[in-house]
Amino acid sequence: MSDFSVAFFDGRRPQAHAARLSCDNGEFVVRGEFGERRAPREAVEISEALAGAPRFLHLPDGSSCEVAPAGLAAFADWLAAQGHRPGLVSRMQMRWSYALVALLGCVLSVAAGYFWVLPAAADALAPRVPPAALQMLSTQVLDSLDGRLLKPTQLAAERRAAIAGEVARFAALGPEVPAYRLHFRASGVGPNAFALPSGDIVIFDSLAELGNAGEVAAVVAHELGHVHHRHGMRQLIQSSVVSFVAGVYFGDVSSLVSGAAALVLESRYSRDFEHEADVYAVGLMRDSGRDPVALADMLARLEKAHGGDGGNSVLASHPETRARIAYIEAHRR
Amino acid sequence: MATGMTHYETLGVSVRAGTDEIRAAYRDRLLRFRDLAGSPQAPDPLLLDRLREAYAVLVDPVQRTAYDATLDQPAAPPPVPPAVRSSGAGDGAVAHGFRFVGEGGAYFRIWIVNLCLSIVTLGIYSAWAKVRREQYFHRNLLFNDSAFDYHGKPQAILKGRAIAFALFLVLSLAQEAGPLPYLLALLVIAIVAPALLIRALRFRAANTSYRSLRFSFEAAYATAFKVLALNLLITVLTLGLWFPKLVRDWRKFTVEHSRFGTTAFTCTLGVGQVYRIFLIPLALFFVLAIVIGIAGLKGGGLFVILLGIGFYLLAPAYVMGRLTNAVWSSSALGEHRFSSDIPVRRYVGVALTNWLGIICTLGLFIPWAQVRMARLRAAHLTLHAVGSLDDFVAREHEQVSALGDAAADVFDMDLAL
Repeated sequence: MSDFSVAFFDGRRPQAHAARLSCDNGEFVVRGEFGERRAPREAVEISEALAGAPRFLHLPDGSSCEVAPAGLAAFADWLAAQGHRPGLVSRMQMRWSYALVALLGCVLSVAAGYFWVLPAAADALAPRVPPAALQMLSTQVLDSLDGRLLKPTQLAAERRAAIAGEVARFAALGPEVPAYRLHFRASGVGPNAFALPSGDIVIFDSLAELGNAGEVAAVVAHELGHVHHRHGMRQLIQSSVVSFVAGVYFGDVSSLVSGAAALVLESRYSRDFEHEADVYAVGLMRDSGRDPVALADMLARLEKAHGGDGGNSVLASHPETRARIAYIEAHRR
Repeated sequence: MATGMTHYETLGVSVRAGTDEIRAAYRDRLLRFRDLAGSPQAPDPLLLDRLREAYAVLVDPVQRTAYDATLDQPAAPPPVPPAVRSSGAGDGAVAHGFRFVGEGGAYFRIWIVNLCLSIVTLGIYSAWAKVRREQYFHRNLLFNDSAFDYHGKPQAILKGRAIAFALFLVLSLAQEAGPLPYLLALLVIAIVAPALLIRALRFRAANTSYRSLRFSFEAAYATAFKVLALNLLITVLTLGLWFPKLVRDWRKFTVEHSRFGTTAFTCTLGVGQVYRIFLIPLALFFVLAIVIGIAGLKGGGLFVILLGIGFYLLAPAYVMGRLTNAVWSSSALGEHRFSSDIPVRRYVGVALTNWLGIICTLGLFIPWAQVRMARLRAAHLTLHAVGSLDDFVAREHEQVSALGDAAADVFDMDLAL
């Protein structure tokens, strides 16, 4: 077949002209009642095949030819006869087999990114964040919390000093124990403690009242584990990336779905971090000559204080407390 | 034949059409029938029977040969598919419908291959993916048997994205750095956003063509600033009561500064119309707030969540459906009027099932969802042509950088609002 039927548009008015398209000596030739147009093949832009969508040939003078859906198969054959080969991606898009391979590729690369690449990247990046930036970030977080959720502590000064004294025994173990600062705060949201990336550790009054000074220090050991492993910064990096990706993927649908997806995906990271912090705390307790079971006791009391129903286990940022307690008891000595 | 139409005419194919073509035509007609059912232009229900019979006969070689023999003379050359509907207006205008002929399965293949490449290249290939998506949705939108076309270049989009992303990063870092940089960043955004939006709309219009004529968009910065910044400020000050006015001004602005060739679009969308659209969701919102407040006190946690999610899903779909109708039905290109008559229930139904499908398939349904929505919108869009549609004239074509368009992507600005 040497020529092909198309609709021609002159680029000046939207009027369709019946035309024949042919190839002659390295030039595309369009003939019709309007006359003849010629353009070198390299100068003509042929839009790629996209399933059943009409295709266009754009001539350099702004005119174009349109191939209707019914003629697409014949047009592809005609192009092939002229030695025009569709690009690799263009060919892949046409077949279900490649689509399935691509689907598999998506799943595997996202899984690899989520399980290995992202944690490794966060691990490598976190130590490079300058301490000044960490301090600024942490101070900001603490300041904003102080305004809203946290109130000045009601604990007696001796009690605070007793806890600080117990914690100081960890620091005496050597330089590998990270620098820290203890902050005591009252809060209405139940017993808790958390560490900021700078080493600032916040203890709620309600947590400090859950046990004796040594037991509270066990919880601080766990928080020191977070600081030591830079969990705060790593979590920040990982969750930013996860939220960003989920937002791009689900963003068109709704921010609710992307937010929920990000929440579920991020919780796995934090469960891993909790375990790492437990391992660190057990080591610290043993090295300072104490029984790590204090941490297990505190965990049990914390769960009880929070209602301990375990009903939202998928979203739980602390893994099943029983498993954590079992781990601690298995590694007491 | 009772209808006076041959099976070939019923399906709109030539007597020499191959089986594939017949199958495609049948599927196309069926979808069109389904899209129009329930609308004011609902086709004759008997058409469905005729379509089925025509397909059954023509797709079977034996039956088809027998049928061909009953046609006393060779059928006339393929009739133009009746995309032309009679216009009810009686003003001498001829109604031309739009059709979206893309298919979910075909688009899925394109989507997944490009998604995979985008992931593997850490997002760089997404510029190519974007061009394919735009091409797919432009080129499958047919009007008068011709398709729209998209001319954006991936390299330009990639460059624009890099700049926009850097801008985004600087601004978000500034927001973290303290109160003064935060305010400065907000100020920069307020000043730059209208300019970026204008350029985004210009890029999109300039890269869209129909029958080799380009669209274009041109607006002064001051106008966009007034429409956006001023309205946004009043919206905040009035706790959202001004929002419908913002939506109306923005929609009118985007339509009225667009051209096809040298012919301008006009829009007569009224403020009252948009307020009426928002009336029901707004009233419902206050009722719900009260109900949720009471139920929350009584501990109906699950009930409250379901109610909230239901509203969160339904209200935007309802507004979008009605707003689409209102904007198009008050718009015109030169003297040719548009109209859109999507049944709001259908729109909400499609939006809702799309949402469910996407969640249940972890996103794999996205291509089908987008195709369904495009089909629905196109099937109910009509241009009422007064006289010839061949008299538009091209204007000088200009190059527009992709920065604004990329910024709209990066900052997640919804140009349709």
